[in-house]
Amino acid sequence: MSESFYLRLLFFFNIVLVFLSIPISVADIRIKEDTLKAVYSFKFGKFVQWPESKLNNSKKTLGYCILGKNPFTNAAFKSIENALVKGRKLKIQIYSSGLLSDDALQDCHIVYVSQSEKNHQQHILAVLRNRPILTISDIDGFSQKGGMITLININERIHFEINPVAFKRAGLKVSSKLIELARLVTEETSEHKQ
Amino acid sequence: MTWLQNLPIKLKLIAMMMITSCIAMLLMALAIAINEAVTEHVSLKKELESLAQVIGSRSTGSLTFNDSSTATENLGALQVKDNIVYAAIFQQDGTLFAEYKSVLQSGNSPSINGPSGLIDNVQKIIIPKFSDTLEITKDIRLEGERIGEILIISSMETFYTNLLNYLCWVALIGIACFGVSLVVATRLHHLISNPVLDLHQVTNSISEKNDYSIRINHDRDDELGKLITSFNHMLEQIQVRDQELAQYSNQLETQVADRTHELFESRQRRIQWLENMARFLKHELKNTTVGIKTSLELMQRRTQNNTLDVYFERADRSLKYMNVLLENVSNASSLEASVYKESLSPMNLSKMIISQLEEYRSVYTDSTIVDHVDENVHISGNPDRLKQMLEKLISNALEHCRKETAIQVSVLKKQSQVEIRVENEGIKLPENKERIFDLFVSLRDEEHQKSDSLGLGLYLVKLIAESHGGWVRAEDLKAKNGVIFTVTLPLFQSPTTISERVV
Repeated sequence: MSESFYLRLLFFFNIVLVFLSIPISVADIRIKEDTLKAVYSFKFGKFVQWPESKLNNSKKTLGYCILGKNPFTNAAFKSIENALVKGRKLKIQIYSSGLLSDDALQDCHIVYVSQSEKNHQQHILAVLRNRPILTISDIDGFSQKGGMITLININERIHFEINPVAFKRAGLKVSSKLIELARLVTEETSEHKQ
Repeated sequence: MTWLQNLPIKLKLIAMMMITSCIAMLLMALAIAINEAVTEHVSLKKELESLAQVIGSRSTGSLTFNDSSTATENLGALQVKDNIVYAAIFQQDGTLFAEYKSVLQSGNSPSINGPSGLIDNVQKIIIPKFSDTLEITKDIRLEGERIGEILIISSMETFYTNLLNYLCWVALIGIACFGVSLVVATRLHHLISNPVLDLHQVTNSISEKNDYSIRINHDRDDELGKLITSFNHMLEQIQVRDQELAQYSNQLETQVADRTHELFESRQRRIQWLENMARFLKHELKNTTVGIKTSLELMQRRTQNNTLDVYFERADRSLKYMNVLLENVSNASSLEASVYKESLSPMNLSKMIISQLEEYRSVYTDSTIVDHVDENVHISGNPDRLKQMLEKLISNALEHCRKETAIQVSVLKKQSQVEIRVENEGIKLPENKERIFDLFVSLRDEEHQKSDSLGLGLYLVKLIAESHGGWVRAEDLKAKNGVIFTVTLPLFQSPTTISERVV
């Protein structure tokens, strides 16, 4: 075998590695964003105060409910599975149908509305309206439509919007420490929507 | 402390008060300064802890959601505190999350420039435990979970400046207090020094003038007042005692003079009586003996009987003895009358005694006289009387000494006196030996009794010794049988010697 053969072989492997590395990096970024959103969404719970009645009627857990298609990878779930909020372990439940039963409404403290429910968000928010449940989503304009927190990816960095009116309406109190980090938005009125 | 001990009492009291107050002030200032430094340090630490707590709490959201700009804004609030030179928030894993640097600090390093040199010195001398900066770190917790750490570093320059200002004030107040204390001490020392000085002045005055009538006037009721009262009382007692002593002395002098006069008169009467008696006896008995003698001569002539001659001779001897007796009594009475009137003059006793002893040795060849005479013993005396006294002592010793034993004569000088000792072996003194110096007393036993011993010899010795201001005593020898007569006479004191003693 000549030296040129080995050089060609090395070049080939490099090319293969370069092509293989591109999808891996993209997947990595995806995983990181999901994980961040998952972590952020449960950490919001640390800066929110639920009414005592809502906390007491649960079973020493804090319900983290995902509505619609699960947006998080296993790695993201793994990062939050043992997390504690208000001294309670997170109880993660996924409602793929996008519907919440009465029991689910009782158990859920945090509801993450997946992108898959973008078209049903109005309905979901109508169901959850006035209930002491923290609503989070990464759907654009979620807070303007009555959701409480919207996660936004700007330049690979997760930011969030807060709708303080929605918090007040639901009887939840949000910490000023969270508010000072967020962009505050107001709900679109019905006339504005039209 | 010798310098303090030797200061006058006024200065000593002022110095004591000032030293005491200065020590008290220094200790108090030191205690206050330490307390102030520690309190200020603790207060600063608490303030920093509070700030760390507040900023850390405010930054929980920033840390949770990785918003370092908000955390930096939170730290920026510390710029209102001039003393805070650096602050930082670290994430859970220790990486720097946000930081704040005072505009006064240069460079990126969180190390702090030290305070000025003067403050450095204050720090080193007074509070070496404090460093140039004070660092506070505090965990940032969210729901009990540690999510980061906040560090605040404060410069101690303001602390040291405040402390230095405080110490300057303390020093100024201390100097003012010293001045005030000095003025007060200068006024107050009189309370103690004046009575003591009064006492000193009065004791000096008493010792110089010997005047115990001086008193110290006071109106105090403290210990010094009681001391002065006691001192005055003591002076009063001394004064009264002096007066009583003077009174007793006068009385005693009067009594002595009276007694002396009485004795003199008594002696004069006795001498007079003796003279009269001797004269009477001499006159009357002489006439009687002349009659008896004439009668006896006539009887001897007319009887012509030789057998009676023995009786006539015996009667004649008795008459002669009576005449001798009369002569001696007459001499004794005249001697006592004259011996006190004779003048005394300085004389060398040693020479006189040596000379006399040589004469006795030539006369009493059968006897041995041993002497020990101190040289140059001078007394004030009458040489003739002293020779007479020595002769009586020697003849007394010769009469009573055992055969073939020597008579010892010694003259010993003892301080202001001289002792003339005449010692002989032989019979001891009789039991009532104190009477041997009395007139007409002879205590010799029959064996040693001589016909002409009328008890005049030792009486003369006593008379002459006393007329020279001395005395005589007789004692038995201790080691052997025998007697020692000791005449003690005062030594002559020349005017030079007397003046030397006075000086």
